[in-house]
Amino acid sequence: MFERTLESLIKGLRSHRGADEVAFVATIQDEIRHEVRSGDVQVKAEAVLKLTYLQMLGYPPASYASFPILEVMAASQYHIKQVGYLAAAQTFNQDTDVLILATNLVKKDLHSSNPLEVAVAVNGLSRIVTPDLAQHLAPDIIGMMNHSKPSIRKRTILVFHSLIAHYPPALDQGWHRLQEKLDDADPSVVSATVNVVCELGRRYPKKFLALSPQLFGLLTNSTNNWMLIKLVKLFGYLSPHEPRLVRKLLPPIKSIISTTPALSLLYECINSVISGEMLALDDGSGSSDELAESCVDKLAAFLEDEEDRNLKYVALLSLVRILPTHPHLVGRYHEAILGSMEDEDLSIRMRALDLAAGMASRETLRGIVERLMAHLEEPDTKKQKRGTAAEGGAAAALRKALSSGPSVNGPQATTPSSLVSTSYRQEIARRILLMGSSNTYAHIDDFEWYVGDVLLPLLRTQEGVADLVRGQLIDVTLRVRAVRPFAVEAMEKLLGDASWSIGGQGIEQLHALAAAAWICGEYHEHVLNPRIAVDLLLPTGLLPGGAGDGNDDDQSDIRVSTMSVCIHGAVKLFAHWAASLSTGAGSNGSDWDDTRLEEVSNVAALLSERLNLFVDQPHCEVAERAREYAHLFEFVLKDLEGAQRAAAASKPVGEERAKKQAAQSSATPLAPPPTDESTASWGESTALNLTASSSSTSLSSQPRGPKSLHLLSPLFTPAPMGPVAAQAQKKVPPPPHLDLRTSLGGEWSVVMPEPPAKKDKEKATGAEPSSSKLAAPSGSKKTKKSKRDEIDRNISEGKSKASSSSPKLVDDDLEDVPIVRLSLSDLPGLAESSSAGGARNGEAESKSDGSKKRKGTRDREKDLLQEVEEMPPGVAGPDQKDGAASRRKEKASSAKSPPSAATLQQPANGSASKAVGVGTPADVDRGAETPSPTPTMVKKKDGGKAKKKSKRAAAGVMID
Amino acid sequence: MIRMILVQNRQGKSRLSKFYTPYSEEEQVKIKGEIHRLIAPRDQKYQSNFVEFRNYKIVYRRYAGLFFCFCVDANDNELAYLEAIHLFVEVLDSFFGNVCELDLVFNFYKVYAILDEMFLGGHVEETSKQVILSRLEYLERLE
Repeated sequence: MFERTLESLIKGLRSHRGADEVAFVATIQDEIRHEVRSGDVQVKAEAVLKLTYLQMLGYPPASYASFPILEVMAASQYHIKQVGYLAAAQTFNQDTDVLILATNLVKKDLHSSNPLEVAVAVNGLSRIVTPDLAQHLAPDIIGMMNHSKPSIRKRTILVFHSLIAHYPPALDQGWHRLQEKLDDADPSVVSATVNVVCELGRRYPKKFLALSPQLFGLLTNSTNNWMLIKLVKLFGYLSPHEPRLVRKLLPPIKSIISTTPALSLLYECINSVISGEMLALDDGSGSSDELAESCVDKLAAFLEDEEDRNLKYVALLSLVRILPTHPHLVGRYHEAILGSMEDEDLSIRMRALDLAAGMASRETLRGIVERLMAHLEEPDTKKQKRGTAAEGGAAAALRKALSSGPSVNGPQATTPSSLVSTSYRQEIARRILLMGSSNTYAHIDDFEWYVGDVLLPLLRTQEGVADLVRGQLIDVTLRVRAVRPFAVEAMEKLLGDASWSIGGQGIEQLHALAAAAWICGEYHEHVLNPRIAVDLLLPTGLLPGGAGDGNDDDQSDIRVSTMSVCIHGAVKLFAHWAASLSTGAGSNGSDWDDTRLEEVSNVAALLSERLNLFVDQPHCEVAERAREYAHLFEFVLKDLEGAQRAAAASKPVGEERAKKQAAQSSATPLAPPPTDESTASWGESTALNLTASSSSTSLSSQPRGPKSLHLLSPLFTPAPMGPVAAQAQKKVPPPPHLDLRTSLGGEWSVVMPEPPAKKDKEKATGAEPSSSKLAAPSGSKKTKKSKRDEIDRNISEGKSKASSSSPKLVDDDLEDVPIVRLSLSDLPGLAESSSAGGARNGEAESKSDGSKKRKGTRDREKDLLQEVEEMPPGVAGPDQKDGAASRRKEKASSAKSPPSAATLQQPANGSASKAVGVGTPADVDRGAETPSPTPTMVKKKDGGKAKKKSKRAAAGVMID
Repeated sequence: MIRMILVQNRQGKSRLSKFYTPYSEEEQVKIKGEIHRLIAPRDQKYQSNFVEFRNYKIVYRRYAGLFFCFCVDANDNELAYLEAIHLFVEVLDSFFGNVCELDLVFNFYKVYAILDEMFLGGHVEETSKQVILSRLEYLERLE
């Protein structure tokens, strides 16, 4: 048979470069497959050597090769055995099956009379060791630490560390030997022992404190820098556990710091002084301050060394560590640190960024942020230089914005350098935002600057941080009263900026739009031109399906949330604008006259038209909002139309009123007849409330114009939201009737039904709701209790057993809750949305797939948490808000299904999230709400709701 | 401690690869590729010899067309490993006599043997150039 030597293999590889290589390697591997079966151990060894070489190049050997390698390891000649051990070390893994056979072989070689064979076996063992091998060979290795040859002793000690990693009890078995070896006659052996002790000391510092005297002796007597570095490092690990050690260590370490010419040792000393908490020692003499100062000065010298980037890097690394305890010392080198942020080296820039972020204070933040912002702009200007035409910064920003969004993974990101720079820029932007928001914006003194010169430019030019910026924009506007007019104006400007096409499709634009909608809606009184803003808040480009709207889940989630916020914000803005037109109270309002009628009806018509575009959205969060408001706008439009006609005919105002009444009464038939008392009384109370609110406004200033101008504004909280301290949440008492212990659920079984039966049932309930099932919640108390116990048991079992099985059990039960489908039966496109796994509507649908359901729950919680995070906790005047919200909701729900429908579903949700083990209190809480909440109540999630939830969540935690 | 030692040329071909922490074959290939992409484009003069990689740090040095990379723990002393690399290259240079890439390619198993004399189980085993070289001479005479 033709046998190829290693040399010819290498030559062959060199002549088959590129695409040919793979085919060539395949033929070689084929040859090797035959060669390893050869009876000639030389041939076998050569084949194994070739395998090893190919492995290095990234062609892993097939599993058949393991046994021949073992055979070569067992060869009697040293140079063949060596090849076997090399191959084993390079190719074997923890799960290589032949390793079981290796134990005796390795053991035999360890006890060989030939020190070369012992050495090669020890070397090989360090790499192929498994827990089994370690356990079996530990006594041999420990015994060999006393080998007559120093070269074997030092290897044995090093391999002992590998053994401990796989078999920790070996440490105790070999402890005394290890201790002895610190005093070995051979310096290499001592050095190796210190290496191992240093690694182990990091993991078991308390245990190794016992060796301190010996180690201290080595520290003061040795001149081997390699070993000194390890010793100093080791003491850095040990000293936090033994304060007395510090006093003893400081003199030798100080003397090393001041005398050593070796920078690596100096650096190690400084590091250990910091990490070993040696600067905390306060003996009254101020010597620790002196030491800190000399450390920082040495590091600063490293930092200012323009020749050596390595020193610069390690200096920054250490300065970051010393910063928390000695910020004033680091502050002295402020300029050098900020200068390092412009270094060519990414690692250096990142560390400088760490430092800069740590150094931020009320005085320095602005300077640092401005510097970083300038840094962000740099690549743009560079690109610009390379570009053909010299364009302004705005144009560059525009181009940047245009190329942002889904095109992040575009061709420009493929080259590594631009990849690094993109992620680096994102990192800078993230740090800026983090610095700004740290400690509730404690470092910021000028919020107009923060909003106008930091947040908005970041939103426009920086990819990947839009969600953070969106949250902060809302947060800052909400917390800082003074900045509101400015923020609203800025958002209005952003909306109107055609060059950025805010109605577009990118993630950044969606986030910007959501922030604008929230801010303009909430602080409507500052909006300069509501008429235009309303239009801009609901751009048709917001609808999905446009260009660039791929299958990106992230984006579609953001789109849904943006759509719902925009619908709410636009309507809110309109409502208040209309009301202020009538009362003349608006910022730009003049007294009402009928000439404004046309303006209002135009805007109302536009808004109504836009809302109708969203009615058919698959996400119920969006569709329901749109549907509700679109419906209300029908009244408004009708009334305005009437008013216009009336104005044209100059009829008395009384007529209008009558018309409005007529319009209102015409609304009633749309809703189904009330089914129970609460709904029946609702109609009256709302009517009362409406008149009450309009009469209250009429007290302050005479409302004029059509009544419908006031139809919408009572739906929103009159008082603006304000921040509430985190502590204040605790003061909110839980509602007296809130009982999280009692199940609201009725007859729903926790026994898993037969799958086919379940499907049938589902179909049946999905198709036509049976009223007997609706009556379920009125089950006897006893049944409820036992049911709940059963569920609890199931849940706890699920936790102890495989976590996947039990939650599924509960999930499946939930699908038996029949009403779930009903509540949304009149919503179109529900089926699609459930298959799309829409997060928002997860609650209302019973998904056919258990895992999907779980995912939905989790997503929903994520959304919820996110929204809660966006909002600062607490709401001013939650009562009014709740009142308005529930009124609105009940109205909507009465048009759909009886309220009892929801009561079944809610406990189901509560226990579902419990069952998957990620339930938030908010979920549980919703389950225990008052008996009359409706499906919409659960689904609804606007700004106010989120807050309410967060508050309730807090209450839930307390009770739990 | 040292997690892996790699020697790669400018095209990313491995000339030596020693993993002291076990990785699967696929992972090894992936790591080699990642490290090459991290190291190769770096500027020799204006950038440091350290790169952060996963939870580790790569300390590397370039000699002619070869990158000698040590992947070490994040809390290790970078400067010391920089010296260790240099020591390794000095030993190679003395052993082969003005070492070049082809020496490493055709004597790859010897390079591993030299490596094993200097580093073991992720630790520096011997730092004395004299000791290492005399040991290598002794091994050479055996063959």
